[in-house]
Amino acid sequence: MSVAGGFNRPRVESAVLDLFARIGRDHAIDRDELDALEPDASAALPGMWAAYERHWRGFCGSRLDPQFCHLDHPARITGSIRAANGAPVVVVGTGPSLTPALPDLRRLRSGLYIFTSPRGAEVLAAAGIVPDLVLIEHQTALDAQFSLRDQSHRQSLALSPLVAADARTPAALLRSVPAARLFVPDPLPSWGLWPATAVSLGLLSGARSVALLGIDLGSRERPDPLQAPLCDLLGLLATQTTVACVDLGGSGAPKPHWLGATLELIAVGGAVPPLLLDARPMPPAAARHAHALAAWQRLAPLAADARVTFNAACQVRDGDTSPRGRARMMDGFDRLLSAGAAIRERIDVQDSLGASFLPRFWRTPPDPALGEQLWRSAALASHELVHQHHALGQRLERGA
Amino acid sequence: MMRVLHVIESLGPGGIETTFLNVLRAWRDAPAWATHDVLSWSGGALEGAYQQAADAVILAAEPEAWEPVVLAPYDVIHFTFERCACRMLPFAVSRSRAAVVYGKGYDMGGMFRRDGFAWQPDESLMWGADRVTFTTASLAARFVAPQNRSTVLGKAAAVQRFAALEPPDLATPRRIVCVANLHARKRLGDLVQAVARLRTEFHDLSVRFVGADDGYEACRLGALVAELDIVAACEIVGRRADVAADLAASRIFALPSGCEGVPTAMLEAMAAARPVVMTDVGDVRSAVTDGVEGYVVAAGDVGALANRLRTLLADPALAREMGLAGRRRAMGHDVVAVASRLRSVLEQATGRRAA
Repeated sequence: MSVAGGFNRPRVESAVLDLFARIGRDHAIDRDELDALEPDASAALPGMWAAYERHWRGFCGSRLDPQFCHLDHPARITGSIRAANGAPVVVVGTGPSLTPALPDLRRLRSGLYIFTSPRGAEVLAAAGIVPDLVLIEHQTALDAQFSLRDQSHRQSLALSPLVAADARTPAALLRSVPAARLFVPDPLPSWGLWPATAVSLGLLSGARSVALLGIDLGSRERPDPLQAPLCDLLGLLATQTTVACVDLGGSGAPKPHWLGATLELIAVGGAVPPLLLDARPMPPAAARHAHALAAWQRLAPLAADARVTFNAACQVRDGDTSPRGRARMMDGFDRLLSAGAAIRERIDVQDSLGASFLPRFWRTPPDPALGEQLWRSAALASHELVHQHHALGQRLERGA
Repeated sequence: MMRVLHVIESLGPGGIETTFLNVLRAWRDAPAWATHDVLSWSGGALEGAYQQAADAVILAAEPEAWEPVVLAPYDVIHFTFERCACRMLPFAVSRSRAAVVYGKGYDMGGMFRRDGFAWQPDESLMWGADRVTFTTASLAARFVAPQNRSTVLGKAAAVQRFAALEPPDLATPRRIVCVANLHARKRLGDLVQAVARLRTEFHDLSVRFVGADDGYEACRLGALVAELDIVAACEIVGRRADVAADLAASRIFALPSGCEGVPTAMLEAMAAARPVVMTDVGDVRSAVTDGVEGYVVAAGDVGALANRLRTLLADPALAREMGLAGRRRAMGHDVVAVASRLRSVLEQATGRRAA
């Protein structure tokens, strides 16, 4: 079944959002793997894959969980949201265009759904607005730690009717969220950039229109080059949907394929009912633990290869340029690199270990002409693999 | 002449960016030994200064723009900041013949590691590099890095610029200055609350916040100032290219932050002979001994913060004594010495100098 099944979305569009989610999971290293899986979305694949290659070099790392937070996630439910009667969704960020729009947003609040981030929820709370959905998604574990230390949004999270927290969210960040309001979004069409993820959730929800406010990506005169990936992603989503995609942040950088409009034009008359949540029970902690343990066991031979490779790479680094020493390093490194050919090992290394460097070398292989200088890339990839495998083992020893 | 590419995340007014700018300036003012190109994901307030201090500044956020730069014939590529290193170092080590140096300062990974959170990729990056540098020994102790390939550089600041300032006296306005980017993690509201308490005893007391706003914190701070009814006593002046005048017009430097390494602004204030009131975060204690150059209080303890400020406000002689002690200690963090150590590391990485 497609990720948008039952939500009155055209079949092709559902397939496109499925494809978007699949690419973002980084399970494919070759476009053809996806072509085979998603024939309905084949027209969308070249553009999406080109963006994936251009900005992320084929690996966005949106599912990496190097701290294994998914094992401790406190949510009891998972599922997807539905906008009643196709009511519009506004994705609210904290860019400069938000402040002048706050009076209108407050006035028209009842005629639309608001999706935002924890920080957005805090800013909205200060303006007396409670969003319908807070999405918690961090690009990296470092970003999640950063949020954890800045707990100023704790109160606004506690007030939000629904909190969608990515499975990689640290449990400590969710302590203020009542269990009944917390869920893990599934599907989560994500490339690691929360505004695009929120837009995808809006598209999946069955909304007739999805709007951006305070997602500015720089200014009209000076777009922020760091936001180019997000800008491209938003454009891709807009071109692949029949839903009206509207940019309410007139002062922000232009977003291709997003139409300018006002809140008045998109808000519906009357009050929209609460968002609906099609909920399912979360896999219990014991099941998540068992899943991780199975992956850890499957990865034991690869981790052993990584240990050998790491030691050999350090010896080459320290001056062992003998053919034997170099061969030991290269043989081990080749085994690690060739592991990427098997999708099961790819998923285990990325999703279960949260390792990032070897997966990147699977996409952008080291230059063999570097010879013994390959000790750097061999050491980098193998060190992470060894340590993440060890860390997961330690975590699993603590139990579910 | 060596060709060095320095990779930095942004040219904004952060601690590492400012410190490294001062290192570049120190090299520029010494006999030339290398060309220094700077590759950054994005520009920022320090961009002009970087352009003056470096041979070239290249702004490139996208792989298609930065990959050719990394592949240019540099002798060594020096990475700062874990994020850009995490993204670009794997490409560099797998495609370029340049030696690689990873500089670990108090970026997020460094600060969090100091506080007990270990982000594994950070450490793995060290093992893919030829050499590793750490800002402090305390930071180095938190990582398992390659032995004999790691160097503690020491925290650097351009302290000489502030050494000429007169210590505060009774003619100096009864003002507390806080130099920090305005962000929630700096806990600047704690200082506002402390000042509000002290205003009942010191009616002419004021506080000045100097630093770039993150777009939201100034609003939040302004609301708190209004709520506590100390609008007349509080200035939020934004970022300054030079904070010497702000330090000169203040008696005390205070930073109530919840997350720091060794703050550059603190060392500059110490060099300006201002007593400091700091929070016990990061490696602040590596540069400040409680009761000697100022005071160190627990982050979030507004009462303790107010008490220590009260002590210094009530006893100008003590404040002056601590300020002068701070100046002496700050001189040990002169950027020239740190620049020299970093030069050695870069040369060692290329084999041009013995370890």
